[in-house]
Amino acid sequence: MIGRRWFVPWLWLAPALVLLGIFLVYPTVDTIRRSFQDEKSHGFVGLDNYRFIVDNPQPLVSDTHVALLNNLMWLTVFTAITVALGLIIAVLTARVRYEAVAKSAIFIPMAISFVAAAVIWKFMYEFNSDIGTVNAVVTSAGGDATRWLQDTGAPQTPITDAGPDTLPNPIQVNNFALVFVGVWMWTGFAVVVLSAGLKGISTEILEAARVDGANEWQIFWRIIIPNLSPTIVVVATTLVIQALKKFDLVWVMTAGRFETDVVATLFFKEFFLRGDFGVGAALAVVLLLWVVPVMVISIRRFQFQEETR
Amino acid sequence: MRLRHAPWVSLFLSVAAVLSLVIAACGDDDEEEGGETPTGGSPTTADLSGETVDALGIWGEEELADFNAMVQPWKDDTGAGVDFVGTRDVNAILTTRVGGGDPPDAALPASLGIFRDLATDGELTPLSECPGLEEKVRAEYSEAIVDLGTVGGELYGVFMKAGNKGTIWYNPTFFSENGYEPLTADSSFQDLLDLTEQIAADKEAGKHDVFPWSDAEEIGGGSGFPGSDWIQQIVLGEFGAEVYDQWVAHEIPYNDPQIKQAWEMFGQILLEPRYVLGGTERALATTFSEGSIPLFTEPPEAAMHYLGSFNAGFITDPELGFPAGLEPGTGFDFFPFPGGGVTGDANIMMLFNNDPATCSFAEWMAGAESQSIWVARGGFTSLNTEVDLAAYTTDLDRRVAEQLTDPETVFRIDADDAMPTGVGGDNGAVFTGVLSYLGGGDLDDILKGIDDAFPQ
Repeated sequence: MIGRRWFVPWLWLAPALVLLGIFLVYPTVDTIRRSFQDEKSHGFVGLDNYRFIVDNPQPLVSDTHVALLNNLMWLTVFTAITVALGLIIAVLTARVRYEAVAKSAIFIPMAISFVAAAVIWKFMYEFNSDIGTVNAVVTSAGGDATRWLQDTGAPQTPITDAGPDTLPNPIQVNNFALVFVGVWMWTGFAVVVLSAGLKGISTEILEAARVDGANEWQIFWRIIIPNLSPTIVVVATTLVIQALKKFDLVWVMTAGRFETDVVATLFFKEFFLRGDFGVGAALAVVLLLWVVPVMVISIRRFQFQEETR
Repeated sequence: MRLRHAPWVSLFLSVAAVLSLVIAACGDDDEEEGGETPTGGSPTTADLSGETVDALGIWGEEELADFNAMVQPWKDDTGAGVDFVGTRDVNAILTTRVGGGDPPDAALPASLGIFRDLATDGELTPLSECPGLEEKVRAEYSEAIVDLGTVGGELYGVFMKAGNKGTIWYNPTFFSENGYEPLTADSSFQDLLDLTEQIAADKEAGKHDVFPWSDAEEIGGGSGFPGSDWIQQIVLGEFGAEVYDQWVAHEIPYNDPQIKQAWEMFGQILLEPRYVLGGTERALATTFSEGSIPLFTEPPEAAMHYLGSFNAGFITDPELGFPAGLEPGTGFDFFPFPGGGVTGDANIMMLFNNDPATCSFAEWMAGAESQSIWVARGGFTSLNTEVDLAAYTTDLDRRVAEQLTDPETVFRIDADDAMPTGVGGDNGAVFTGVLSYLGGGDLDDILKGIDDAFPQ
């Protein structure tokens, strides 16, 4: 008889709702409130904090434009490279006998904590070639040591060798060095998920295509990619969210110096180090707004899949 | 029926418990102080057994052992305990704990900015609320140090463990072999430029293959601090204490012509590829603690390196890449930064209540007896005038301390520590400006940018 009353389902939901309220809803609402208040959250200042982010009046203290652009770079470059690499490796390893070994080797970085990986790479990138492995390789090959984590100049490739020393932010050597570490860590994840998806494509389709005379290239683009696209979207969504909340790698390796700040590191500096709750909270809200579309897309996708099941 | 009711009841209870936690947490939110009753009590002699002082600071590893040795006699005397948390993130943790209504009893950070912010916001307890403490501090510390701890006419802080930033390090063997004279307290910045030019000219003449300077700026969020130290030493030495004080208090704009000149003098040495080993490129990418290594390689690659007195700890640490067995005075040495002024950093002790245990702890920490313990263990330069110079273990340490406490010396706290958060300190505008200047940025833009960072 109890089971028929209207409030019973709510009662079962209550613990989850209360916890969600404490740890998710309350902090979110409070952050939004603070983002409209002054630096000690005493009085309302309207949109001043957001205007600070847009106008960037203090580039030496907190360069909000650089942080937003760097996040954009993480979002695009990191996601694109990781998905592409993951896809290539997944497809290629599926054809070799030592697949399990190859995939494990690529997956191992994922098992390292981000802070530990960042510390390792900080040493790898060290300018002093007695310490920095990367520069040791470069100098022993006859090149000049590069300041991987400090150089804000444009990357010089053989193609752009005669090109400009600097390009607009965030196209900087140190940003690429940081993104590379992210790629190194996350490729394994992309490989594992994508190759699981790959296994799900029925061999009958592939064989039918081969019988009809499709070459491997056509199979990849016309069969594998379309069939794999739901999995690719899942991987890409995860990576996009990773890119947006990127904090640990940047914080440990450069602390956001040399124009490598991302929104999350700048938020931490403003909120906890400088004690400016207003601008800090506004940055957190910007990050939240940036993640929302990604979340909506992935939830829609999930619902769609549930319906078509 | 019982079975059907049981989950019901426990569910309600757990919901109620969680809700009460929420309500309790909300209630705490707006409280400023811990609500301690102001009692006071006679320190040091009182029996405080069972009491614990919750202290927050920056010391870990070796320094933590030194700190523990320093408080041990007090613990034995009073029966009280010390719950010390040492973290490099002390500012973040202090901001969070104070904001959350749960401040520690005492904190010992190194940033003047956070001390001033907390004192201005009324979060700190004035030393006068501890019986006898203010009088003791006024009697045993120089007036300049007492003034630094005073905010709005009230004394809130004790400056205790100091670092001397007026030290230029060199290799005595290299200097004597080539006939270079270390500078003295009476030298001027021009003398330093002359010495630099002489070493560079000798190098170009093929007399040796040693650059005048090594520089190293990299240390995460603090990157750029050695350059900031250069500039503050130049301001204090060349333009005097009055300009320095106006500069730090922002009574003159940061892009004042004198300050600009100080930056340019800094640039005269650091931006000159003939003077600096590896140029600014190497300086910006090298960890600050490794800056002195080229002075002691065989043969040396650089002649001088400017860094605070704590550099002695690096030079004697072979794990950082220094040759083992370098002895202070003969293997390595320093001469004073020219201009006669000395800047330095200091740990500030501040209190959040006036419990008897807190007051007693503060009085012990501020006193000469406790500080002599750490002085004797090495690595501690005391600002307490009662600490005997004989307590320092090496001649070099003693000279560092002498330079600080000498009545002739003009001592000032690190400009970047004394400027507001956002301007000075880690990730602040000054450090970023130094990095930008060494990276080839436009000086006028940088100085304007730093000036804009001051609170309006």
